[in-house]
Amino acid sequence: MKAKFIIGILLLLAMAAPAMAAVDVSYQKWMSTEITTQDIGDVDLVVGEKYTFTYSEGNNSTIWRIVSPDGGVTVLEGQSVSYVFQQEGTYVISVGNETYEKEVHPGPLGAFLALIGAGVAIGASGMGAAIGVGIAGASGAAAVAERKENFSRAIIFAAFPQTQAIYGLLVAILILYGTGAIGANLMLSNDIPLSQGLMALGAGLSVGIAGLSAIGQGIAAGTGVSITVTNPKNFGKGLIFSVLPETQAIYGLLVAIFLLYGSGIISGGPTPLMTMAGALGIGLAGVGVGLGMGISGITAIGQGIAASAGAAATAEKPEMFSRGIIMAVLPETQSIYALLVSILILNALGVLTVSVPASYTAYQLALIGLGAIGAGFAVGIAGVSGIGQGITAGAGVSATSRNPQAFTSSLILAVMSETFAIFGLLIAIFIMIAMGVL
Amino acid sequence: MLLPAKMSEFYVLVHRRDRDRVIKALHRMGIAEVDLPKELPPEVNVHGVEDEHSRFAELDFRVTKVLEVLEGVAEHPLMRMAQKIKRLVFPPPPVKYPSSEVEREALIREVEETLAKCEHQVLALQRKREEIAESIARARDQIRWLRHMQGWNIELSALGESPYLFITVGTVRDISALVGRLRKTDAIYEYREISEGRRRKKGQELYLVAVLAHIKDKKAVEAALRNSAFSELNFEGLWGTPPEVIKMLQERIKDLQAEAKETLRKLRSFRREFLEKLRVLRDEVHNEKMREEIKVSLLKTEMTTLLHGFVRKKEEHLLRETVERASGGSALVLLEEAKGEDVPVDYENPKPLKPYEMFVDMFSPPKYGKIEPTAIIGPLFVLYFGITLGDAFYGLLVALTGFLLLKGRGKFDDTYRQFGSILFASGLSAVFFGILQGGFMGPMTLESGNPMAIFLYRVLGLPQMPVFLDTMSNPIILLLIALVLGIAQLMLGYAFAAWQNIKDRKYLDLLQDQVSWFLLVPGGGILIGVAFGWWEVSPTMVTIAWIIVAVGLFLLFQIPDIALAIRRGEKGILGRGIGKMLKFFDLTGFIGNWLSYARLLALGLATAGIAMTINIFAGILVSFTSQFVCATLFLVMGVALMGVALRNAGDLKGVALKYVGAFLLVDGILFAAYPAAGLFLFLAVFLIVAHIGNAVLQALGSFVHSLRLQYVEFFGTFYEGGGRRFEPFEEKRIYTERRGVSK
Repeated sequence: MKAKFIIGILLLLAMAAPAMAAVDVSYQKWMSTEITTQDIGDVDLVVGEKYTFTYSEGNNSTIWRIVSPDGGVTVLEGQSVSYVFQQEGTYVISVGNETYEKEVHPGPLGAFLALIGAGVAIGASGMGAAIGVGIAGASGAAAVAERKENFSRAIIFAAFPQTQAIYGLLVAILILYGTGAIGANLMLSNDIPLSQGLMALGAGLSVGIAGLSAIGQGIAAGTGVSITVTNPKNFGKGLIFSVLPETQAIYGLLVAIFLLYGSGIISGGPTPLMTMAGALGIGLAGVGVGLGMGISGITAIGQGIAASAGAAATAEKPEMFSRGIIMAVLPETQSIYALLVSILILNALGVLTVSVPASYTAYQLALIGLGAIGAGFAVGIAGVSGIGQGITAGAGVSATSRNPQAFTSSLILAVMSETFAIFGLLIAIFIMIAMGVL
Repeated sequence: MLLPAKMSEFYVLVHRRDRDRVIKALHRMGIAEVDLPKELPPEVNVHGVEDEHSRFAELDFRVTKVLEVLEGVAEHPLMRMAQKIKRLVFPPPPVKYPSSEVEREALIREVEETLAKCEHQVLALQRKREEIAESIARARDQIRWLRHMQGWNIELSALGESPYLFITVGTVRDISALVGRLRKTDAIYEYREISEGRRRKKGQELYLVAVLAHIKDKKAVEAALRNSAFSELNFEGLWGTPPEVIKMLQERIKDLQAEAKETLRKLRSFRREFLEKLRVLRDEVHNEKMREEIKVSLLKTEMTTLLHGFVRKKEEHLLRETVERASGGSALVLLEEAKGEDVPVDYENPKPLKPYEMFVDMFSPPKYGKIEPTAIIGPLFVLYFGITLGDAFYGLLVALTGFLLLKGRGKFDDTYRQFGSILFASGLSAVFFGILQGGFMGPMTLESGNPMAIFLYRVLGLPQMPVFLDTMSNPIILLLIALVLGIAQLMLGYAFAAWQNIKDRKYLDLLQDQVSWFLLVPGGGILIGVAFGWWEVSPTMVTIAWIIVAVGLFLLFQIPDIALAIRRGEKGILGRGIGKMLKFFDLTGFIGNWLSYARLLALGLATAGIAMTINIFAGILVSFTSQFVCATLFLVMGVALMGVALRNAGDLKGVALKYVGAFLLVDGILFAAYPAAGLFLFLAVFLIVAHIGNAVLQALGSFVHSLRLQYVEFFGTFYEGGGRRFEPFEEKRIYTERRGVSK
């Protein structure tokens, strides 16, 4: 009995022996000089890194077969071979009698793209907010020079354009938090797909460039300070006019949130949208949508000019309030067009509902992504037409204040600048139809 | 609620002997607005002011002037900072003296008597005070210049012209030009640079120049001085050398200051004796003045006086009683229902909604007979504020502020009471939504380092609370809620507009401006949902939806209007038709208004996100602080700030610096001794300060955006404004109150 037992053990060991013919993988960690060697079962493979595989039982004529996720086969010869993985997915590596299935992780490239997004988010919005607060603060300084007691009112108005920077900071922090960049070495993160990085970049563009709306808000808030100082009863109306140009920043934040949510940066981990084949296209679409929403946010400068004129007119004649608001709100339409296009594209790609769009292949998705960038440019840059519209609307408010008959004519004149934004919207719609999204 | 109070228009005819009694009674009752009717009845003239008015106006003016001076010399008892703050938040109630029934003539007599005792003296004392202050300032100025002249041995009384000499002292900037000019004359001069402060840029230096010339050169020297922008200094009435004069001026300043103190003492004794009486008299005189002024809005015939105005329908009987009592029954009171758009509006809202009336007033009161929207925008404002702030801690802060306002200054000041009420309700709403969204000082997740979460879940070990509306992980739900609220509010606005058009029988407008939307929104909604694949509907429904949308567009582009115009053979149809194309922007406008409600989500997320960021930062701080660095840094900063604070002792800045410095000092010591405690203290203060800052910023944003949604999106669908508030003819009493008065 005992002998059988021992023989059994020895046989087991003998069977196991060939399994100990192991494959080792060695690689050099980024930015370090040491070479790490691990057993192939333990190693985490990442896209873009160079790995050296060594077969303990091999010799110079050992044949290695590596099958990539899309079916391509690479054949290498030697006891030690080097290979760089180009794709994410499941690879099949066979050598001798051994076959291994290894998951290749996306690596940190996506995370680093996301860092660009975080930078754009806070950088552009910070610039806008600073300029806006500066304009409003200049008005505040003049108010305080008149009477020291005006300080508290001046501060409130000067604080308004700050919110854009807060939104930018928020998105930047969410991106950093969601990608694990806070307090950790991002180089070690493996699970931020490239597409997620692109989505984060899009989010950063959306909220960052839309943060330039603070310049318009600063213009309006500056006038808000002056009319409140002239007559404290104007405080409420000045407040309303100062807040009008913030809408663009809010839309920018909204789209940024959609992008972050749909890509999984703020909901815990990469969503299926980011890991499917063709996720790259979805990411590119995110960049396009972000560009469109962000750039169209610049229309708030026009809205600020119009709101400033509205505030001034209302201070003179309180009955101009409703008309002033109507004119001041005109330049918002451009960013609404951009929001519309963004929502349409995001919805078609399943980002809003986080459901995989089944009707597109990976290649089609990549193309849609490029097309979305085009649509974003169309509706976004054309949206800057709001500046012209704002200038006209502002003058229209003053004209209506002097002569109420001028209202309709001013409205028509102001609306003329909008036709170019409509052209932009039209082209964006054609692009979307061409992509098969609409 | 929803409509302004029903008003009645009144005409009151009284004999002219009863006129003053009736005016006084109405003034005291304070329920009627008195104004001239739009069309004057025939054979009636406007009353106009009488001589009494100027009498009372003059008395009012004089009493106010004396009061101003006396009120300006109040003694301020020394109070500690804590007491000052307490008085700021909970001010003492204003003192009100009882008012007495005084006959006009007796009142005038009493005012004249009182003024005789104090007016002349008080005003003279005040003038003296001002003169003394001016003299002191002038003397100080002269001392300043004289200090620069100390090295010169000039006899000041010799300045100016004498039989043979012309001497002058003054300032000039461009010394080289002046010197060049003076060289051409025989004058002697000396100068020194007196640029104050830091070294000035070239061309900005200031020089003190003394010039002595023979009298025959006076014109030449004067010309030279004039051309060099010389500014002469005036030392009239002073004699001696600069050091002597400085001493003399300093003595004079001391004397003047003593004199000022004595003047102040005298004024204060006047104040003690007369302030109370003057205040009471002022109220009475002021009200008499008002009663005279109202005569501008009255009509008269030879024997009678006619009053016209508006009163709340509910108070009709009160008006009738008051007039009849005051006129001994011989008055004619005509009351009829007020009609038209010019009627003043008075709001009729239940007590909880009254504070929100200020929102409607800030925009513009409605016209009579139109919708008065306080009942809608008040609760919706509170709702939106809660959603956008969405944090229980921040909500508590806001509610607390509102509570303090209510119980403090709000007891006596209407505006503060309204604000306090609004903030209190909004804060509670934010607390509610904060609990729903699982936010207290930010989302209550352990990973983000939320202090409350750490306290509840780790320290106390309580089970995690369920979060019903997690904005961070599923923002789409909140977005849908926001959009649903938006559509509901917009449709409500259109409903109001529709009701208005029905009331005014403007059926064409009703169809084109409101019914069009009632069709487009459901129809369009169905079609969009199908296109996006959100829901499935049967093909019949889709066809019906298309038809509804087509009809809606037909109405929206005002085709019926064009059709009618063609029928009537009007001109310029083509132009009008093209103009209707602009209606396309109504569509984009509507979508814009609707999507604008998405800001509810964005703002709510922003609050939670920034709060979470603060918590994350605190977490990072934990890992980055090193004991040695923090200890030394805090100790050094603490000592420095305390040093600066001691120099600025007394004022708010000094106190603040003192506390900050003390905190840093204490924390630095703790860091050196018990690093954990030091870190804990620092984190606690950091978190509290940062969260309070975020709360203020986000509360401001929530307030403004919730209000904006009412003013821009909601009002845009139906509200015009343009009305005027009802302003009853009532007494104004600042320092007095009538005993047993009830309205």
